[in-house]
This record gives sequence, structure tokens and C-alpha cells, in this order.
Amino acid sequence: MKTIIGWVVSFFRFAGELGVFASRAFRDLFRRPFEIGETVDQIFEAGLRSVPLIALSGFAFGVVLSLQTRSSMEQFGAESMVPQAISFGMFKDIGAVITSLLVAGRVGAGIGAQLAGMRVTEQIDALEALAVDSFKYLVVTRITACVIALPLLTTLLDFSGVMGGMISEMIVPGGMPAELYWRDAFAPMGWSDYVPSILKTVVFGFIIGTVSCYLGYTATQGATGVGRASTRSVVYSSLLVILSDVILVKLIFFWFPE
Amino acid sequence: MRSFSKKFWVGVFIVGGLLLFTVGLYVIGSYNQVFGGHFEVYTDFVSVDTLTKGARVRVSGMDAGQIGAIDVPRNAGNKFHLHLKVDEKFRQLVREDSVTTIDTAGMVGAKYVDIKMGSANSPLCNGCTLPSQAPFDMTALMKQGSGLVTSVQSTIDDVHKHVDAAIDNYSSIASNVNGVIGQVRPNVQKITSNAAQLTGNANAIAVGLRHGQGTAGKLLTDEEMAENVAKTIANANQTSANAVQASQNVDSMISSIQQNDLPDVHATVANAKDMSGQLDQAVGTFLAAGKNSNETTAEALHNTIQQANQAMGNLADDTEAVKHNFFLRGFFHRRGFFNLSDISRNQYAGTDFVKKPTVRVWIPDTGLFTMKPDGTLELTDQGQNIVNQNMSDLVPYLPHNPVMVEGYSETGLPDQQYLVSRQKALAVRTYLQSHFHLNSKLLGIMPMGNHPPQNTGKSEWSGVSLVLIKSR
Amino acid sequence: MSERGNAQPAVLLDHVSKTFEKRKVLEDVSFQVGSGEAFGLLGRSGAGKSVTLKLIIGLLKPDQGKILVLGQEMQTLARDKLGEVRKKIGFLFQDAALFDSISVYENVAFPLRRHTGKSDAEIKDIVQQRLDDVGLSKEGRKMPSELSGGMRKRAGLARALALEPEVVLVDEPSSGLDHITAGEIYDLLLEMKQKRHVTLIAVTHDVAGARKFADKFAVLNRGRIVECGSFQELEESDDPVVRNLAAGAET
Ligand SMILES: Nc1ncnc2c1ncn2[C@@H]1O[C@H](COP(=O)(O)OP(=O)(O)OP(=O)(O)O)[C@@H](O)[C@H]1O
Ligand SMILES: [Mg+2]
Repeated sequence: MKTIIGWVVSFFRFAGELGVFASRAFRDLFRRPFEIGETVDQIFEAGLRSVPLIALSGFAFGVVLSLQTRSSMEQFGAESMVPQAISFGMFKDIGAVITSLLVAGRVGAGIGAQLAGMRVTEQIDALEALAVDSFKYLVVTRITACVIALPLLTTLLDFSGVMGGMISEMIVPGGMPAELYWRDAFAPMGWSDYVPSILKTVVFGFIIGTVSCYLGYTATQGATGVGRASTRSVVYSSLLVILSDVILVKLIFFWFPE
Repeated sequence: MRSFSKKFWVGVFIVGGLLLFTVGLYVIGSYNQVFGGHFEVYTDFVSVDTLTKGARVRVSGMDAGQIGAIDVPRNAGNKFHLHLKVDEKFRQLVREDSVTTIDTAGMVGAKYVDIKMGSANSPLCNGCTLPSQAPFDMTALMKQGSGLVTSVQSTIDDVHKHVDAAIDNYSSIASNVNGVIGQVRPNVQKITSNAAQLTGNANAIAVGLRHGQGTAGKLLTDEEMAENVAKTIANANQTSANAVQASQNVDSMISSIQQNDLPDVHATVANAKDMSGQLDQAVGTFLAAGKNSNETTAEALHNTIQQANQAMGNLADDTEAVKHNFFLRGFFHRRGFFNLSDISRNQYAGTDFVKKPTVRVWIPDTGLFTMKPDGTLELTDQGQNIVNQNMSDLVPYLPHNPVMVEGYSETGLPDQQYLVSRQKALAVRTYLQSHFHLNSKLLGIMPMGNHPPQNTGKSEWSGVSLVLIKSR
Repeated sequence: MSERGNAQPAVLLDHVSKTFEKRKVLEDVSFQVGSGEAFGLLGRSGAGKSVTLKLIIGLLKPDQGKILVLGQEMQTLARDKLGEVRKKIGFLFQDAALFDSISVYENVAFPLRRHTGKSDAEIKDIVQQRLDDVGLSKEGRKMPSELSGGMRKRAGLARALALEPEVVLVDEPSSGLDHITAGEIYDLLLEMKQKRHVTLIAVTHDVAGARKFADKFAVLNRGRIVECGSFQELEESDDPVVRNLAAGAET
């Protein structure tokens, strides 16, 4: 019983502190000085270095999606639905979440570990001692990088998925030619299936960046703390991404009701 | 600290990502006619059948645009008002008499609105409201379809029983006419195998639909539909509908089916029903004749069974079509014609048999026929050889293409010419059917009197002509 | 030195207390360091010396009391003002706290790049000068992880001195160094004090070494200042701990 209350209390404390941290980050996002150079570095780390992972995962995912939907659609003579199933699957439904989870795993863990490491070796204090606003220098730049990188990576993953599906469809027996596939994949889509679900990853990027930075920036307890910040960054930001997706999907449906 | 190349690659990343995003915007936009020219027409439906804004619009089956908006009716009794955005290049095809329907791509594919091409003399549709045809109800068709299958099965059981009884009686009474029995047996076997095929078809439908309720059923847009179908099949399996019910079912089915190009099953089921009646009669006559049975009664029985067999063949074909129609709509679209024996001469003149036959051979009737005791014609041995020789031109296209046997006669008055030419055609068809194992549905007869079609270059003919066309 | 004592002190602690989760680490600590003075902070391990330095630069905030650096009250300053003061303070962490993702050279160049508009060439000269001062002229391209503990300490000192600060706070500048190298570091500190009149606060265990440059000492024990004065005064103190510490210098 006591431990349950303890959990509840620590949960709310975590939520509260994270909220304060997030609002500070959000406020500082628009305040000078802007750490442009450092932001470029972080986009390089979070965005560019994720490109191979994201492109490959998207491609593989498209192939799997095509094989699976094909086998079930075939029973109905509805093979013509395969491209649409893939494009909607990638663009509208899970592309954004998959990208976010992959980025949470790769970038979130990195941020958590790096900042925690800097915290416990007093590098963050050293920045402050050198008259640098460590929050802006370390946290705001990383969150900005995630916010910028995620929609771009999501677009990449979505298109890689559709490409993967296309190539798989061209190869499997009874598949369809690329031209037809391309048309069937995109013709049923509207901008409202495309734009909101890519733009919503801005929020996911903010979540991943904020949660990982928070856990790293406030880490304690030496080397153990570094490892813990790293794993927690992945777990918490993944969870929050999925939760917020539930809310965002509802919101998007509210604004673009079809 | 930050090398030039890092900045460069981050620039490439951001610009590349944005470019990809823009490509997506453009591709989707162009498929949605955001950029190209399009015009808007309207149509009203009582039910939109899960159509949504953005669903495809096709003109005579070709992708032509999408639904721009759906106005919900203000009041009960009013219809949904659909705004159809159609690509500019279809403007000439969409006329005020173009009919719109809601259709499905594949069995559970996305719904779309199809605009039939209008007639050339109707004015162009400039923002007009097109007439619509209510969506075709798949559930209803399935219900009727499975009812039909059940009726057909029971009819066949009936027929089978009668034939069995007839043969039993026949063999017990007239054991001396072995030859006739020998002739009858294969026909009965054919009937049985046809019946088996029918049962198989019915089962295939049932299995296919039950499947629809299981795993794959999740893909059905309408769960209720899957349930309906399952119930229907369960009922159908229990119902032993009699032939009368069958024709009633069929009557209601005809109206919905005909628009969807199912064959006229009504006639064949009715035929089958008749057939069992005729068998009754035949058996009755046969029994009445008793020990005095002669060759005529035996021959009559033989004929009846042969006709029954033919009717079974038609039925098997029809149920095959019903089955296909559930899973792959448009089975008969591809065939493009129905029962050849049902065509009138006027209709016949409009078909490809007359207009552009693939193969046409002329056979003069010298030495071809011999008259049987009952006055009907039959091919002589020599005639069979002649027909065989002439068939060599047709054989490469068999057995999947339809063949028409035209009969010609120059003797007597027009009514006599008609009857005799029909007899000739029948005799040849009977031979072809048994000798070349041709599907009765693909083998028609046409009594032509003494009037060969005009484009053949012949002004008169006596004998037969075999015509084959390649179906699509 | 006393004539300088009348001017405003560069660093002043006034009845400062600091508690970590109920544990009192500093209690009622007061001392002042005049401008240009060199001050040695002595005390046993865990006495609170590092905490004191962090309080001075504002990395930690006192629970009670106030701290003035160059006339500014650190705990009440707004962020940008605080930054201005910190630019005038050089700080050497006990564990050096080098940025481990950039080279030694870049560590030293970091404050120059951020706070001066100097060209790359000028920065290069200055960094090279600082590295020469601490005896690391050839290690600029190495990463911090490739350095020994003592080298890291010296690199940290080079970074702390990069901006030519008015106040220098060093946490054990000679720990991990041999006598010769330690002596060189002390010479460097002394030279800074003499040539540029830098105010210096050095935490150290090496009392003998510290005598070379420090004018005044304070001894912390269990969070309190137990003695404050010249080396002579420490030797003559009533407190056995203080005498003990001072005696360590003789051996
Ligand atoms: N961030 C902190 N949280 C909690 N306790 C702390 C923290 N920093 C220091 N302390 C405690 O304050 C006390 C004084 O620490 P401090 O680092 O000032 O010691 P020190 O005098 O520098 O010792 P040493 O000579 O070993 O470096 C120690 O007992 C330490 O446990
Ligand atoms: Mg210390």
C-alpha cells in the first residue's frame, strides 16, 4: 500500500517537474541567444545520422506490409487495395509513431546518456562557470533538433515504406506494376491524410527531446545514473509519444473530419 | 569546431526532407485535381453506402476524379447531395442522361461513384444533377443466390430420383432393349456429375462466405453483412425449398440481377422444373405402355433424358456463374453472351456471328441426313465424316468459344423451310455435342430458312453452316 | 597587502550557511579576500571547501548569508548579469570537468570563441600560450579522455585562465601532480598575481606549496571557519587541527 502511494506521489512529481522543464524549454525556444551552431550539430546527430536507420526500417516495413496485406486481401479478390493499404498505413497511421519510436530509441537514449554523463562529471557546471546558459546550450538545441528532424525523418520513412511496398509488389507473383501501384497508393489520399500526420511529429519531437533532456539534465548518482537516464529516456519518451498520439489523432480528426 | 561539411549535410538533410514533403504534397494534390482543370457535377443518393469525401469518381470505369463534398440532407426523405469533381478531359462524356451508381472495387474494395457515359445527343452536363441508380445490394443478392442454389439442388434431386425410377422401371419391364439402356446410362451419369458440380458450387459459396465471417471478415466493411450472409447460408442449408419456391425466388432475383448481368437463371430453373414433370410423364407413359413397350417409348425416354441432361448442363453453368458473381463480379461481362439457344433471328442478325464471324464453313446437305421413323433428321455416317472434315477449321478455337449451327432449307413454303432448317441444325448440333463434347451453352442452333446473311455473298443455301466467334 | 585590504574586497562571504538535505555542510562562514590578494583554503576532506568555491561562483545558492564577488551579490543577480560576472571569474573544478566531446585545444578555445570576437588566428595564439603555460603545448589535439589525471587538471586550469579573469578560483590545482610540475603551477599562479593583480582563492592540501603564493589562509573544519590569518597565525593557533594542518607543511 505504502509503495503504491509512493509510486503515485513520485509519478505526479515527475509529471510536474517534467511540465516545468518543458515549459521552460518552450519559452527559451524563442529567446535569444539562439545557439545556432550547436543546433546544427544536434540536427546532424539526431537527424542526419538517423537517415540510414529510418530509410531501411521504412523500406523493410513497406515490404512486410505489402506481403501481409496482399495475402489477406487476395482471399477477397481485393488485391487492388494493397497499395492503398500501404500508403494509408505508412502516411496516415503508423509511420509517424514508428519513426518516433525509432528516434526515441536512437536519439533519446543518446541524449539521456550524454547529458547525464555531463551532469555527473560536472561538465554542465563547467558550462555555467564559463558563463554559458547550459539549458539553452544543451537542452534547447537538442529539443529544437528533434522538433526539426522528426517531421523530415517521418516523411522519409513514409516514402521508404511506400517504395518498399512498390518493389515488393513488383517482385511477388501476381503483384502490380510500379505505375499502377504508385497511382493506387496516392490517388485515394488527400492532403488531410498527409499533412497533419507528418506535422504532428513536431509534437513527438518535442516530447522525445524534452523527456530525454530532462532525464539527462537532472541525472544524479554517477555512472548508475547515466545508464538509468538513458534507458528511462527511451521508455518514457516512447510511452508519452504513444499516449500523445492517441490524443493527437482525436484532435486531428476533430479538425479534419474525414 | 563546426566543420563546413557538417553544415552542408545538415542543409542537405533539411532541404531534401522538405523537398520530399513537397513532392508528396504535389503528387497527392495532382491526383486530387487541385492543380489541373476539372468541372463539377452533382448527383443524389438515398444512401451513400460508406462513400466519403475524397472517394474516387470514375467515368465508365476510368479514374476521373473524386467526391468534392457530400451535403447531408436537411430532412428525412431527402437525399444526400454529392459534389463530383471530374477531370476536364471527360467533359464530352458526361451528359445529362449519364447515370451514376455506387460501385465497389473488388468484393470489399473501396466504394466509388461510377458515371456511365452519356448518349451523344444528350446535352453536356454543366453543373447539372445526374440521375442516379440506387446502390446494388450485395447482401440481398447473396441471400437470393443461396436460396436459388438450394432450390436448384432439390430440383436436381427430384430429377435424379425420377430418372433413377424411370431406368429401374424400364430395365425391370423391358430388359430386352439393352441398347437403349446403354444409351441412357451415360446421360444419367452426366446428370449426376452435373448435380455433384452444383452441390460443389453451393458448398463453395457457403465456405467462401463462412470464411468471410472469420479472420478475413475483419476486412469486410460491414460486419452486419458478414453476419447476414452466414445466417443466410445456415438457413439455406436447412431449407429444402421446392421448385415452386425456386421460381418465386428467382422471380424476385431477376429484377436485381438483370442490371448486373447475371444470366437468365429463371428460365433454366423453370426448365429443370418442367423436366421433372416431363420425366414423370415419360415414366407414366412408359409404364402405361407396359410390356408392349416398343422402340418409340424407349426413344422418347432417351430424348427426355437427353434434354434433362442439357438443362442440367445449363443449370451447372448458371450456378457456376452465380458463384463467380459473388467473388469476381463480371464473369458474364467477360463472356458477353448468354444462352445461345435463346436468341431470336432478329437478335442473331445483330451478333458477331453474322457481323464478324471468326470462322464460317458451309456444308451442302447432299448425303448429309437421313430421316428417322419419327420424321426427325439424323446425320448419316457419311454426313458425320463431312461434318468432321469441316470442323477442322473450328477445332483450334474449341472448346471455349461459342459455335452456332445455322440450318438452311430451300424446299417448300417459309414455314416448312423454317422447320426443316431447324431439324438440320438440331441434328448437327446433337452430333457435335456428343462427338466433340461441347458445352451445350456454347453451342446454338439457328433456323435460317433459305436466307443466308447478306454479307456472306450467298443468296440461297441448302444444308448447314457452322459459325464460330472468339469470345473476349 | 594590508593597504589593499581597505579597498572593497573582491570576494566576500557574510555569515553563509549551506545545507544539503538536512546535512549542514557550511555553517556561518564569513571571510573576505581583497582585490589582488591570494587566499588559501585549507581543511580536511569533506570539510566543505569545494562547496564554498561553488557558492562563490554561484553554482550553488546559500541558505543563509550573502556572497559578494566584485561587488555583486551573486545569488540575486539576473542571468545575464551573472554571466557578466562569471566571465571575470576563472574556475578550476576539482575533477577538471573538461568537455569530453571536444579536444583539449577546443576546450581552452571554448570561452574565447563564445565571449570574445577574436579571429581564429588570435584565438590560436592565445590557446597556444595558455597550453604552454601549463606545460601542455603538444597535447592540444588530444581528446580529454586521452590525458592523464594531472594533465587533465592542467588543461582545466588553462581553460579557466583563458579569458584572463580578475578572480581565479582553483580547487586543488596541484592534486595528482608531482612536486616539480606542481611547483611550476604555483609559479604560474604567483606570476599571475604579481603581474596582473589577480585575486586568487585556492583550495589545497599542499600547505607548503601554497605558502609560495598565498598571503592568507582560512581553515575549514566541519563546515566552520576555525582559523583565518597568515601562515604564522595558523602555526600559533589554539586549535590542534589547525596546528596539525600547518605542521604538515614542515614535513
Ligand atoms: N551536491 C551535493 N549534494 C549533497 N551533498 C553534497 C553535495 N556536494 C557536497 N556535499 C557534501 O558536502 C560535504 C562537503 O563536500 P565538499 O566537496 O565541499 O568537500 P571538500 O572539502 O571539497 O572535500 P575534498 O577535500 O575531499 O574535496 C561533503 O560531506 C559532501 O558529502
Ligand atoms: Mg573538494
